[in-house]
Amino acid sequence: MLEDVTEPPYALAASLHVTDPAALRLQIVLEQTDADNTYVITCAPRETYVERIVGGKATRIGQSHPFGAFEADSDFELTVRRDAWRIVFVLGREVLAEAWDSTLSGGGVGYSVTGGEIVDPLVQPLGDVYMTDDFMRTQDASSTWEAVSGTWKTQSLRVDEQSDRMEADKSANAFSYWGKSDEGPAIACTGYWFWTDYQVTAAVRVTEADPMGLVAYYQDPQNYVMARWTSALAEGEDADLLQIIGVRGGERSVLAQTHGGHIPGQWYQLQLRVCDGEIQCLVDDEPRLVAHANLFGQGQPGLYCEGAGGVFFDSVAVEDWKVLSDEFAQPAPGKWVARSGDWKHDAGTMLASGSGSRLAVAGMESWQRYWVAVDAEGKGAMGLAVCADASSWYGLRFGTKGSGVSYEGEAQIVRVADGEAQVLASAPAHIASGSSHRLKAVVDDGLITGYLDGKRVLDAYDAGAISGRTGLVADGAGSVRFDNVYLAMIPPKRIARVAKEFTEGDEHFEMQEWASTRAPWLKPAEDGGTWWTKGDYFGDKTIAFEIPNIEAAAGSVRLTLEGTPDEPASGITLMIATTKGSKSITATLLAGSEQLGEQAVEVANAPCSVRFERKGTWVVATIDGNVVFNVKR
Amino acid sequence: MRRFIVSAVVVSLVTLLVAGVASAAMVKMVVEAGDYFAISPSMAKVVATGAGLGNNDYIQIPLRRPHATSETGPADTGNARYKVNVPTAGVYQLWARTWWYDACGNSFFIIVDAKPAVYVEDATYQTWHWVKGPKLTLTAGQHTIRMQNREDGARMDQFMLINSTQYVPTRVETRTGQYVVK
Repeated sequence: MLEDVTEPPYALAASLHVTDPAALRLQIVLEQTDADNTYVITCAPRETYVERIVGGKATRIGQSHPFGAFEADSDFELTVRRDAWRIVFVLGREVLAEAWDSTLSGGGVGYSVTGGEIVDPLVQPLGDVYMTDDFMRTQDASSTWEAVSGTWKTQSLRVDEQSDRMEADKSANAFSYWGKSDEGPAIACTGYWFWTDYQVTAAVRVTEADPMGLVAYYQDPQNYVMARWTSALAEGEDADLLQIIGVRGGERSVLAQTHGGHIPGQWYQLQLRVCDGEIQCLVDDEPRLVAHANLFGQGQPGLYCEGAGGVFFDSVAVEDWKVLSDEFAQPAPGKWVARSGDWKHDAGTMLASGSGSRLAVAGMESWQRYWVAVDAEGKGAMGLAVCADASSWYGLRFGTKGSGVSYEGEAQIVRVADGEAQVLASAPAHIASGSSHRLKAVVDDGLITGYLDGKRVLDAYDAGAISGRTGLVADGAGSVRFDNVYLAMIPPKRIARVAKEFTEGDEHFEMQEWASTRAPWLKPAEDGGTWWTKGDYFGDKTIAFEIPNIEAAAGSVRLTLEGTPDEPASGITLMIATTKGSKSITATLLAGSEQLGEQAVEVANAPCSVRFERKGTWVVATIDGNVVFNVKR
Repeated sequence: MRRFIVSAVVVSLVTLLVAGVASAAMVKMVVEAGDYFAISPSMAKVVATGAGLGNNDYIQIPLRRPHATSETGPADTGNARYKVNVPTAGVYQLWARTWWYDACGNSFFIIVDAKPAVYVEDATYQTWHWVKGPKLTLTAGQHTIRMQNREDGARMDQFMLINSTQYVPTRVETRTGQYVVK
């Protein structure tokens, strides 16, 4: 056993030296509290598998395939990754096994081997993937980038006919990273070998009609994944293309490609995403390409270019990107856990047979703010679960005609606890028996929104719908077949702050207006007047701030959503009032001049947080972490 | 790439012999930024509970108004000083767990004993993260490490000296108080 025990997520990395291929048998144990309670990964010449051992009973979980061929006196790098749900075994840069299970957590890590030896084991703790770089530094300053090939340098200002008229201190963004090819492609990497499940984003501008792109899961110059973008103005077979390419042993294989190249001199935002064999490429936030390949399983992100003309890269960001994509192509025992009813992998789908309420869940209880979609077909009622924990879950369910459920012809959002369903919202929705549909549920900090075949059907707000696993739901009489599950996290909300200016307006008065973070707000003409935002905010929105000490003074503040400055009684307004020396806040909710409610709130924390939100068809006010109003309006 | 020297022990596991390792060769010294023996302004200690910090505090060069309007260098030599007992002579990688305000508040000077100042810097802002610093050749015994003002708006939660080039800190590390003299 390894001496240092690390809490998940972590990666065990080592080298495997094979001495006797025929006798090779490698076993790695994870989360071991004793020999009867552990995960075991077994790798031998003709088999690889993962077992969950609980109470001495072994069950194979996940999916795997054997390694090609071991040779005597050969060496392979191996990595075992473990987070709260996933186990991934990578050997020789190939993902040999993946399993999903949360039963065991918090034990030791160890290994045994015959026919070989393990060299230099290291337990590497894992954390969130996050780095940014705006390249705002001098050309000789240190950086996190490693130039693997080609010429790379931090570049101040542009290199073109106008550059001699530029001054860095008068530029909003004078800095970028510049690369060009010398012989073969130019690659610069950042990050670490153990990074996985991430998206790398960069602003890019090509000087001439040269190919460029982004790299993920970089291993060495001969092994990586990339998005390669050629120019619309180039000539040749691969001109005017966006490609996802796997490079293995120096050999390129195009995994996906589409027409549409870049224009030299134009800035674009290019993004490459990798997670669990899913590879996506986006241009200017527009999804352009998807490929599936389980290459390498981990590795560094990087920048890529070809040709001598040079490419500018800027505003690079590498962030976590996690998705659950399941086409049920092969069984993966343990990934979907049946909570009730009969569930089985069947003909490339997940089948809920029998009758009555049926639920199968997957994922982690810590998942928050996500959307999940699935293809569903059958005679029973069908749906999706979100925010599922050990005892309760929220469901979006559709009452298929003829299924015999009480909600036939309806869509419902329900909260299910101890087997009892509480209906939070319902709306008409027709689903014919045996028909096929795409169901989608979005959970966003208490708001659950349901979609059917791309159309929004209903929503519900419940303060408890924050985090939890996802699930597949069947109900009533008849089987339901599920396929193509896709779950993705919702990106963080963008913030327009009311804050102290980061630019010193006295010294740079010419920048005061556009560079100030106060710029989104219009100062009232007189004291006590209303600060209105300059622009209109569509869709969901939140006003959030803190009151440092509510006992300090008597006062009041009015927060208005969806109002019109010329119409004082417009919009939805939350009015909060404090009293000097009191920890009580009076909160009043108004729709125009109509009072919708009034509440006295005892505040326990300092500072006291206040949130006033439009969430779907709901207006929600939260003070000191407690939901004071949630009104469908 | 991931070579890591550890000594081996053997224990039984299920019915198999299991090779094991002890981390005797690796020296990892994790210092809480609040564990200085001396501090001078404008470096300041901030107590902040529940913020995902190693010991509910950090040191910082407070943000100035106006921030970073000139390129004339730091306004003062504010610093925090640490005494670290290095158990084994060697080359140690320095890591710092930092929070940067922006591109003009993203570095600290590091002065080891009386050696010339070096610094840590990167371009990931407004979040706590580990920044890889310089490699330091240290003799066994006590050394003084000074974290000094280079730019306002820079914060530090922990720093680490480790004689492995492969280990990468990714989250709050467990303090190793035995190496720190207060």
